[in-house]
Amino acid sequence: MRGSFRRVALGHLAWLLAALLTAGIGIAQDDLEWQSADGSFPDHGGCTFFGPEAALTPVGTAASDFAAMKLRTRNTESVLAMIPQRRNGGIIPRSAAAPAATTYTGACSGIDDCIQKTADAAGVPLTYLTTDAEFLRRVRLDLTGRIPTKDEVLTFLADTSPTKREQLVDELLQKPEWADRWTMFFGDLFRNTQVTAQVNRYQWGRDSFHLYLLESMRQNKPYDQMAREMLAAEGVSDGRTYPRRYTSFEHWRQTYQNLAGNPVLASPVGYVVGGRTIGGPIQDTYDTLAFFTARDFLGISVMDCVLCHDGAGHLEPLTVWGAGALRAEGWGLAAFFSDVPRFQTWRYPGNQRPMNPENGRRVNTNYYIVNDLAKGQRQQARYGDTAGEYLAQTSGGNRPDRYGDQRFVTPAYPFESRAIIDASMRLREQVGWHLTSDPQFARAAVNYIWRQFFSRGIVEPPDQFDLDRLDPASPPPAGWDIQPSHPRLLEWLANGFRDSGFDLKWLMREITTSQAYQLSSRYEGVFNPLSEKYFVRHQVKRLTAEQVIDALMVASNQFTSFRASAALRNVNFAMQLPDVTGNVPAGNNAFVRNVRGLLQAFTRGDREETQRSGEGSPLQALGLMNNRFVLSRLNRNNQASTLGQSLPMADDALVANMYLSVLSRPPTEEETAFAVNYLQGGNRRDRATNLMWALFNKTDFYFNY
Amino acid sequence: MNQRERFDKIVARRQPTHHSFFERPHSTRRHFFRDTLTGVGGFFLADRLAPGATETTGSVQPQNTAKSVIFLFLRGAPSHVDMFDFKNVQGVTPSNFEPESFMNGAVTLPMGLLGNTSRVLDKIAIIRSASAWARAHPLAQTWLQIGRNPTSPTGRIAPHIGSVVAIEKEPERGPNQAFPTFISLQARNISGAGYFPVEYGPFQTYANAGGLATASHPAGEAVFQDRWNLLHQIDSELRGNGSPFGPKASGMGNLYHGARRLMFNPTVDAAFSFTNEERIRYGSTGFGNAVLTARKIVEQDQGTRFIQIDSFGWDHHGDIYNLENNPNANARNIYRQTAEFDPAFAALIEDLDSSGKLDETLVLVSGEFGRTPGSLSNERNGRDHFLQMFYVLAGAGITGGKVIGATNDEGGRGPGSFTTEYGWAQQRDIRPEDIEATIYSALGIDWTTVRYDDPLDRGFYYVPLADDEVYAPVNELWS
Repeated sequence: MRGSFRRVALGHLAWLLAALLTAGIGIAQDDLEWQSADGSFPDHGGCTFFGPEAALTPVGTAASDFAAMKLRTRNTESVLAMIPQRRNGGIIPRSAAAPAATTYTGACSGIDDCIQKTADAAGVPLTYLTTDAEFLRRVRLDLTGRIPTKDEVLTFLADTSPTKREQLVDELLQKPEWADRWTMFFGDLFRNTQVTAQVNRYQWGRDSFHLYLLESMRQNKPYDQMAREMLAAEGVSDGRTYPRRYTSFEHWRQTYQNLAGNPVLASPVGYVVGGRTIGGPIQDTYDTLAFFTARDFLGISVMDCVLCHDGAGHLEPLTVWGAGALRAEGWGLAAFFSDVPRFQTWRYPGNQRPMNPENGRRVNTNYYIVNDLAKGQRQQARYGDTAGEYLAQTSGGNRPDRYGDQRFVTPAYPFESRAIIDASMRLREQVGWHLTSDPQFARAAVNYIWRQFFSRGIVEPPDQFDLDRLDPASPPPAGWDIQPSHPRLLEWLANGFRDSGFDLKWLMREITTSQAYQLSSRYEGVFNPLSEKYFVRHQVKRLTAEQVIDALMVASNQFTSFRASAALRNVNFAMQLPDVTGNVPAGNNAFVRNVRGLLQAFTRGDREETQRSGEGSPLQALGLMNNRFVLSRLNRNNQASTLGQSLPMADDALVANMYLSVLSRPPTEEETAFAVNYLQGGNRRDRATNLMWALFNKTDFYFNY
Repeated sequence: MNQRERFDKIVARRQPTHHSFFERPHSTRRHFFRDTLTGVGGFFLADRLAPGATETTGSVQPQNTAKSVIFLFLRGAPSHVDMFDFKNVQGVTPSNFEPESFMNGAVTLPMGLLGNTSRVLDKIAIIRSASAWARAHPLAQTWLQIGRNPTSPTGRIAPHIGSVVAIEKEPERGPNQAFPTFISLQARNISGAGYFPVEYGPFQTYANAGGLATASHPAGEAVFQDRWNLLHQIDSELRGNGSPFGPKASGMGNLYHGARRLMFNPTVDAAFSFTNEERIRYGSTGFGNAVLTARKIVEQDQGTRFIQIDSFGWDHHGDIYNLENNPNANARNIYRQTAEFDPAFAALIEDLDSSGKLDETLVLVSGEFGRTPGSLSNERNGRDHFLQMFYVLAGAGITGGKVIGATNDEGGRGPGSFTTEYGWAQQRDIRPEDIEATIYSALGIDWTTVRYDDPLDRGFYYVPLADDEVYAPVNELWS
């Protein structure tokens, strides 16, 4: 038993314990004295996940606490040892033509150092830094989802402070639209949509989960805390709490008044509701939740495969870790969810239905109640299976029959937990602590976020982490390269994120103030697309669907509002919408259909089967050229609109005003000369309108570059 | 073990047989796909994604009689026992349904609901031995559109059947064919391209008398041409090949030229705009307009191969027969719904037939499941969710007047609750996967195809379990 602690670095236990104790759910401090064998103090900096491992000796820990601990590591050797036993023949190199291992694994620390050294090793030179105007537009879009206004551009360009870029980042991180933009991101990641093939969250449940994400962003809630709250959440899926029975008329009246004022309250219950899986035994739901947990928080989507069959014989071409993964390991994770009773749809009694604040009518909505069964409690479910335990014996349903060695699966975290678990906690609370103590949790998170800024993860795709190809000190078998393009950087970011208290703003500040992020998207000389992974030049990305709508409004200075839902009412920017499906924003008039058409053309996905895509399609060109929402941004008669305010200006000022407003940069001299000449060659009002239209369709409007 | 027992055994256990990696065709192409789909140079796919490493059983013979498919998707699940598996239940069926027998009693139609459809009975085939896998709307609707369990790993990333048709048929596009391969009309939330590139997803639009909305420029062609020219003058450096923004931006020019081909294009106007006289014949409803538009799209022969039209409001849990005489003309009941469907469907079949296009167009009508037969639900006078269902198919050489399968009572639930006669070779209920195989067969696509370009690297089966030939096209439709 003791030997299994050997790979645990002391530092991680220290922070974890601090967190546990702060949260008041840990074990008494006296029981948890730890020291490393050489007496050294934990080092939080650098790549300590893979650094020299302190052999740990637990001191004065009660035997019962030992039993509650579930520490587990996986390493390549153990996987390699397992595979031949389960397959005829050993592991086979990925491909005979596999490229030689080229990943730079030398020492480095920090974003710029690691990227510079990796690029040097590859012999690919870094490009030059981007201009102030380009940086402003890029970081404004990436952090807050909007393009800068004309005034912001002028102010920033006039600012002579040498630290103005850092100051700008700090300002943007405090803007309310920062929360909107990242609520949209996490809404995508956690699939917060009203209806999927498996579950109808109902509109109020979707809104409630949306509000939870939004409030979490507004508070800059630590990301590990979010994860634990979502996994362990109990209650009503629309966040409302109400008594099952009223004690008096006055009680009813007060409750009702409170409800009417707050039709939907923030609740993280929507995450677990999203795991509901119908058409099979309840183990299918537990498996889905295990899969979602592994993919969303650990970047390990092959868990979905593993929950049907062992990895051996299936996953060898894809992942070393997966090739050795056992189905029973997936069950171990799924069993943490086995206290969730079968989801039942509830309907509010007539006089308790939420009130639509706009028209005073009661809304006909359903909801779910997700309350764990008490320990030891069992609930008979529909397929003859039971909730309250993970029974590894099923036939039929959505996954292959389960034939476990044991009838009941003991919850066991299959990855690298560094948590010390109080066994009295609910199982879903336990899995949250296991998960957030796992180094992979921080790695997956920083990689997902990194990808939002650089268009590409350090591990790409970000949901296909291979745990056995991350550690340069423990290289994978022949034919496999280290998976991350920058393994040391990944660990540096993950450690820093953890040490910051899982502070998303810390992470984003580090990223956006780095030189690497501020590289130009232009490149001198020949650029090999295969060099994208070195981050030696900034990759352009298409504006997302919501960014297009909002950018058109900011560019034209013509704003409108969108109906988010009955409970959330109207929002002023597309980025504030709670969902991405075809009936959001709500409404059925021509204006709303145009907005939705443009959003769909820019492929916002469905948060289910179809991922948000950055690909181009002719529908996008049709939309920018002809969509009535775009064309109505060309209002000549509105004095406040960009077009209306430009028309009275002199020709060169008009051109500058339009370029600054739409493209967030001043025009070049050639551009001014050309445009002035164009304006003077015919009907000025018409030509100014044409110019504005052309700017909406320009490549440097369409892209975040 | 007979066929049905074999099917039950395989499907009940849901153990798709996987080829291990070592048994699959080795192909560097597959890895190329994986890379392009996740970033490297895959942005605009200047070269369209051609079919990659695939394998088939090589033992099946597609019908190959259809060039395109029109799928009328009646979302909400229409009552099979009130429509194409009509059962006259004493004391339940309203008298104004006026049932009438056709084809020596093989088909009885409620003339009060489907009077127009009776005109085309000799051109359509009805499947009654059909059963859905699930009776929850979103699950079953997605199931039907992607032809597999949405919860399975490939189900989570599976493209719409129309996207598979698009990726298969895109290479056959002629140089002057400008329409999208897969068009969706009236959809609110249609399944998408899944893991395929976005260009194979549905081109979503609404029927509109004035034409394809986003392909018209209200200021007119002359103004548009001025604007177009100006755009290309001020943006030529950034959008061309060799854009300083890198490979991703270099496709911008092609993107706009692809869009430009749909504008001021007489074939687009001919397909997407319609007159008042035309729409009256299709019922003058939004659904009817869309059916009319679909017919015109097919007749223009501009490269469109799959059209889905969504119809909403078939979920009649309450007051299905309007017993409460609801004065609200918009109340959703079987009368209102069939009043939308019936004239449009009949006109579609007749018009395709008279233009000669019916022979090469597969028309499919379906909900996602059926509704409880027998008497109405006690509290709400409605019909609830039920697995037994119908499919109606026509065109593409399908034998008109054909009825496949029969149903009757089981356990007193009412007539129409249980298949009594399968009516096809597999001797079991017809499932969404079988309809999927039928669509592919009609279009000349080998439904046993497995493509090895999926991100899970497990192989995407056009029809699940195709290597075991568990599902099959309903070839009896053609006999």
